[in-house]
Amino acid sequence: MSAGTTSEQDKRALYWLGERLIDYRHIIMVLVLGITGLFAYWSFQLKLETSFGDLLPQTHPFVQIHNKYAGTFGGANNVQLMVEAKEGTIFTVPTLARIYKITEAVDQVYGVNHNQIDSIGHRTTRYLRAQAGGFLRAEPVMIGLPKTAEDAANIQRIVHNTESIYGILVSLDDRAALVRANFIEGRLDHRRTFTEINERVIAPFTTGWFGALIKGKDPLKPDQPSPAVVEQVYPGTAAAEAGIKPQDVIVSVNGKPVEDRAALAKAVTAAGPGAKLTLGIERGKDRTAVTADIVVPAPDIEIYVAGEPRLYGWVYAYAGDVYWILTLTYCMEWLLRWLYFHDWRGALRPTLTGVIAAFWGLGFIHLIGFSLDPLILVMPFLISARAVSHAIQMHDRYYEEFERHHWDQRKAIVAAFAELFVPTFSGILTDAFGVLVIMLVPIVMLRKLAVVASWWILAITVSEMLLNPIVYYYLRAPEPELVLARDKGWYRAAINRVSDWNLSRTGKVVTMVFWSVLTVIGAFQMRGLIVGDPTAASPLVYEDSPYNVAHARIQEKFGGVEPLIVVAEGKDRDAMKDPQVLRTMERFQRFLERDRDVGYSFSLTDILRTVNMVFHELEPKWGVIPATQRDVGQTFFIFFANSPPTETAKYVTPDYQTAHVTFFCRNHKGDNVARIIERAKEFIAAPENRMEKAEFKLAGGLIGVLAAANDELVRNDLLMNALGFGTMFVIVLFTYRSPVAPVLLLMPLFISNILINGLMATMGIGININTLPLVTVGVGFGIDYGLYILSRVIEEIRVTGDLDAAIRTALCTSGKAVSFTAVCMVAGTALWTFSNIRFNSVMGGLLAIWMFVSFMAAETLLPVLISFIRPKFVMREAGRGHRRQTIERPPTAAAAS
Amino acid sequence: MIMRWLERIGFYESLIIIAIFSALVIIMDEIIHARVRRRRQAQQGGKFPTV
Repeated sequence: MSAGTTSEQDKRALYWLGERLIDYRHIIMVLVLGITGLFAYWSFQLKLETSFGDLLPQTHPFVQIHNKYAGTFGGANNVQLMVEAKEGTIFTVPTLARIYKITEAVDQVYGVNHNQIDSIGHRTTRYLRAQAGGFLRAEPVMIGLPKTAEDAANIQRIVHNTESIYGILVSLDDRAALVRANFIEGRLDHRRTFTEINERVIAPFTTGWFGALIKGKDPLKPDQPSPAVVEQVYPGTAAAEAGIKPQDVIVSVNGKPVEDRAALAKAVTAAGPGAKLTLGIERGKDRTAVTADIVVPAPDIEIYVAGEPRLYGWVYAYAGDVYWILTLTYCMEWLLRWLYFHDWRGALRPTLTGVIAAFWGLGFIHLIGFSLDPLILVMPFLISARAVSHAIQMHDRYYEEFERHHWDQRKAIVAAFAELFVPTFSGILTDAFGVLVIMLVPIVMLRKLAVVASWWILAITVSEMLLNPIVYYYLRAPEPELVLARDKGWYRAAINRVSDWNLSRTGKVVTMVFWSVLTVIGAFQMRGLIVGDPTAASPLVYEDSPYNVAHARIQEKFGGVEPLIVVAEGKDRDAMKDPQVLRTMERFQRFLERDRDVGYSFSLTDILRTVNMVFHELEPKWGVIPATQRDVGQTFFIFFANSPPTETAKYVTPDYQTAHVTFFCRNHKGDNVARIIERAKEFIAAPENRMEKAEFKLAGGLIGVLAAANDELVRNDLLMNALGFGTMFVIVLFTYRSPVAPVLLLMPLFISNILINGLMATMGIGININTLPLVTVGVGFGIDYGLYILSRVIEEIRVTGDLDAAIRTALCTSGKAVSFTAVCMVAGTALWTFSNIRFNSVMGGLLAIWMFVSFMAAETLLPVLISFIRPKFVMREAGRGHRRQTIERPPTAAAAS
Repeated sequence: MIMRWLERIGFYESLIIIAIFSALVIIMDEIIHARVRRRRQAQQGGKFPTV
């Protein structure tokens, strides 16, 4: 136990404040609880959702172009659905019929842009058909369901002869078809889209499939009964052979009743391929009972779905993890704190701090109209862990002061409050303002997050500084025996031993060498840190997750599905009929297609060349852009004459002023995105590619907006770090009134930042809009470890006058609480490593390691630095205080311990 | 198996488990404290002495 100092004179204002808080406890308590109740109410209104627009840097020119043209040329929220035949080709009647119906089902999903669906089964996917008299007509590839093998063969012929379809919407091996749908950003509802795609698009054609399309539940009326009504029976399937007819209601399988499609699908799936089933059917208006015997066919198609809305859908599906992680974390932390303090109040008090701060934080999120993103769920845990950490420090000090003040509860409360006020408040301020620098990045989500995190951290002051003395006063004081027993345990002995070694001559040298070597390794490794996603697979979910499997499979079959939209903005109407503009667009396509990560591209010129060729009896030499504006206009007329403007707008604006070149990229790895954009800029800047009547504008689509976000992150990363550290520097400078203090405290933090950046590079974690907030919140975390230790060193040196003795005492008192705090914080975030969301798992693990490194640096390196440097601002305090009256240990306490 | 069970925990289940666990810790702690208090009362006749 430390001797302590009588520093009441130095901090008499804080002692006075502590006393007044207790005097006016009832009114303060009612006031704080009232406001907390209000925030709690708002907390429960909070929704879990992602606003795509908030993820983008709205002021970036790329995003402005994206916003301007997303409604016409397509945005970044594309869903790619691939239907793959397990055997043979897709050109069979049942498979083509299903592709048609699947396309129809996709068109009915909430939020889809009906004019931006690409599929051989969609009305907007057209081919040119030569008619009698030399007329050409652009007709949909599939007008209706194919009925005969001849229909299927005809569709195959059309596909093979249409350049804009073959290899783009149907794979070159004829085994897969792609349905691409763009979603309207303002109507994106990731959970609903995910459910509707599962239930309307995938399940009816795969789960329990036997050749009939069965009507499912209406997603808007999930509680209403919905019997298994047959909507469609496909020729050549088990259902057709069994004589099942449209409008039949399937009521039983092998005599067991089935109430809806899901139950029917479950029964059929359970029977397995080859099983013979007798279906009970009610047919016609008079509901005649008939039966049909079917042999369950083996699954013949596989459906894969990828794209950003789908990815976020999976993230939402896994977001339920938060409950069990919260439960386990809470129970584990309670147990740890109870074991440490030997008192349930020690477990409860930090919980109150955490809960009150959480209500203030979550309520505030709702109040400013923000919602929780499932990808930042680690953040509340992290901030709550900070709140709990401060509370543990305070509780530990309360016990210490309780013993020192002759077991006088009130004096102990006031002393703990006054003595820890400066490091606690300073720690909270540095954390809060350190996070606020995220505001620099002009991405709405990050700005909101910065405000929220900063407010949430500041809210810790309410429970920790305002309510804390009052809560202690209301709670019964701990048993003195238990307070004394804390000085006897193995934990204390271990801390003492480690501190002794650390402050020995060998320990100091080893510590310095150890951290120096680690810093060099970290600095070397962090060169590999990249901005953006580090792998082709999405880092948000695991590599073997259904999403990444689907994404990889689609990429494998179609080369590239992630769009980069470059807009060719005309200066006047009909600019897109100018042959020079069109030739430049074509050259642009060929130029960028040479990049290894660009699968293929599409623009108006592809349509033009195809039409020109068809118009000249399919002679390949006519597959060129016509020489004059008039010829171009006529060729366009042939193709677009029968299409409404809503359909043609996805290729060119109705006044032919603006069109686009879309490059479908293989992945969105950070370095690939940067390279592709760089190459695009290079082409546009070349003098020979200047267009008289138009200019290229970068860039929309997923690749375009990711490039914008990465661009902003690169631009602001260094500045953000500098300002983060600068803020902390200033606050610590004012706290200790010495420039050496911030250098001492920021040194361990700086090293742990280098190490974590190195670790991120090694683990393949890139800096992106998802990782940045968590990483920035982590920057300041750990400064309070140093603040508590340094403050205690100053407090102790006033009495002892001996620096090394003061450091040792600080390590054995505040350092001990710091080490326990670190254990709690690491445990609090480490459980996230078991999350089904890979991103949360990786970030949870990373932050746990980060906090551990920060703690180790503060606990080992900081004392050694103080000891080596012997800073003036510490040494000048030597002997300014006097030793407290030593309290005799009562005999019972000795007996109890 | 455990993970599957854990993944079924929802918001209300979580609150119930947390409340029960906290209550158990408090009860267990009070039982231990009561024993400590009784021992002190037996030895010193009540209050913890101060200097």
